[in-house]
Amino acid sequence: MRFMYQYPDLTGLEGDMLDSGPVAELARAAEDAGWDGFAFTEHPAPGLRWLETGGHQTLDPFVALGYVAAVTSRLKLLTYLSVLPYRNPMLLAKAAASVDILSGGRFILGAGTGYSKSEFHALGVDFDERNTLFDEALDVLPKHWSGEPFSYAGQHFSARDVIARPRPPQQPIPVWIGGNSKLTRRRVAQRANGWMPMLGPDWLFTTARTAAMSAGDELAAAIAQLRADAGARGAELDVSAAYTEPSVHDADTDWGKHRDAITSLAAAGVTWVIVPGHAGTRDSSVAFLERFGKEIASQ
Amino acid sequence: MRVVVQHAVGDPAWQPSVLAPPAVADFARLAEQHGYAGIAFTDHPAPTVRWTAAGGEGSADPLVSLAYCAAVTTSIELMTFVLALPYHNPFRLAHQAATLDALSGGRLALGLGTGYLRGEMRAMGADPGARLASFDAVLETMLSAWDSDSVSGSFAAPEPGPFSGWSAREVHVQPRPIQLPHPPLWFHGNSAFGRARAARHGAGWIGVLSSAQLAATMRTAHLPDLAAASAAVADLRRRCVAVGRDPGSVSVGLGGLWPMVDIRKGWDPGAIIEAARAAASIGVGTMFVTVCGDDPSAANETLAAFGEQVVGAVHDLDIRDEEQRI
Repeated sequence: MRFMYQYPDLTGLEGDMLDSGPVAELARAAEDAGWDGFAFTEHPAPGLRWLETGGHQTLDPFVALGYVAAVTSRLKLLTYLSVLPYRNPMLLAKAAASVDILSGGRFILGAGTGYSKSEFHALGVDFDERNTLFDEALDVLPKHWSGEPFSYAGQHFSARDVIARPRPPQQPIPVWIGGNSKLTRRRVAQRANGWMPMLGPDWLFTTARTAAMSAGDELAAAIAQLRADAGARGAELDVSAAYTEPSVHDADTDWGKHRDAITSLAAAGVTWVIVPGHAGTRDSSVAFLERFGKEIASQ
Repeated sequence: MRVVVQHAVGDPAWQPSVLAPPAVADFARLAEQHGYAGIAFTDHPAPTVRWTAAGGEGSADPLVSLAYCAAVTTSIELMTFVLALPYHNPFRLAHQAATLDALSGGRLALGLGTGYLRGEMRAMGADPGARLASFDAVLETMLSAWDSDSVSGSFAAPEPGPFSGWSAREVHVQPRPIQLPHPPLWFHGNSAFGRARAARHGAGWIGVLSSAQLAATMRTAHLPDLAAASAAVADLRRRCVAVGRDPGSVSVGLGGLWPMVDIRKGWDPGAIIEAARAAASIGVGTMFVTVCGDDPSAANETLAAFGEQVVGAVHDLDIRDEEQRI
């Protein structure tokens, strides 16, 4: 099992995104404490109403991961997740390639189709076409990353005789797709490198052991099916699960309980646990990174 | 006089090794240690095969690359040289810029241009025929996004594509940039269009001395020499006055006066400093220089040597008082 820390999101409009601690310091603390990855979410153009009713602030994940690349040497760097239809796939490919180059091949493109209509409008993208746009982006990304001349004629996007260099070290950069739909799982099985199912805390991490087991069985069945559908690639697929049990952030938490939960995730076929940081201070963030690292990530 | 260095990937003969992480980190640190005012990256997400084969420069995503440089430096300015605005959505770009400004402690400067490669523009879903209108729409919307709690508005390109317009209702862009109301904007281009925007919104204007052929490729006005640049500066000053701004408040940057420098070929420091003195005499306060990019060691040695011989020597040059030029 490997462990990914997600830089804390800040809910609402008050405060500053970076109140939870300098990004460089948290990234170094995560690497030193034995974590395996660092992640940022993406909301480039949130609506005021969404932010006022539980939405959260974000940093641009590509810019932030380019910054983290410079102060770490081992951590994988994940967009968790980037809404692919939010921009032209060329721009996406170039940003992803640049993070991969500058990190020496440590980037993972976490990708989703998106859900916020108002954000789609602000970005000039037709919400109803998001699935076509997503698939066209999946078509174009490896062509762009190959460093070879290519042309592409899609329904929403076309390019003639273009070439993008330098090539990223990873050929291609791994793509993990988020979401639980059949379409998502089919995409992962056919042409992605990882699946990021969305798991609700009440569904998976209730204190009642039986419920957790039964949820684990459901997840295990879905993962087994995914690996089977992917054929020869099935065994190599990564599967991530967000660990959102709130008590993990308590200083005096029962680590045995969390180890058990993570053991059952591993048994279900999960390969990465993603832990969203809690908004707080520099001190509280670093303390959590060190505690979790000592008790779990480095074990 | 300030000197901004374009990263070595801007050499048409660049090799991928100049973008290896340790090479970029060394380049950024050396630039800072040797007194360069800024480090710059250009924006070419999808250049055409023809342009690339004909000597087009290399590129890495400018905002990602500058973020990398931000993490290994403490004071040097981080500059896009330049972003082609019609390739970008104003909200996302405002968000990326604010992110970088916040992470770097307020060191971002945005060089902005209209873009000129038609094939790349089409691949980006932008309409080459509407690049000027698109530039203005993206600019105005970014300014609002940085300045207000929320911004509403729309832009429809003459040839609508999935990424070419927008329709926003109460969008809130955060984090706020550290530099308020926004990072300094430098407008690139030899034509009156760029100077008009610089006079209104700019911290600076960037002219590029060019051959007639390069000017045609870049779809901008031909600026053959310092005399032509001087006339352009005078025009910039008049435009500042016309919109009620202090003419001295818009800095002048110049590229193309110095050759690309390469320590293996050497250069004549006297001639380079003399050219800078002449540029200063027409009001140029920032010079842009490109270093060789075919080998990371040569690039970094060039950067250090040019820094020692030239950057310090031109630092205290008197820039011509702008008041005399009106």
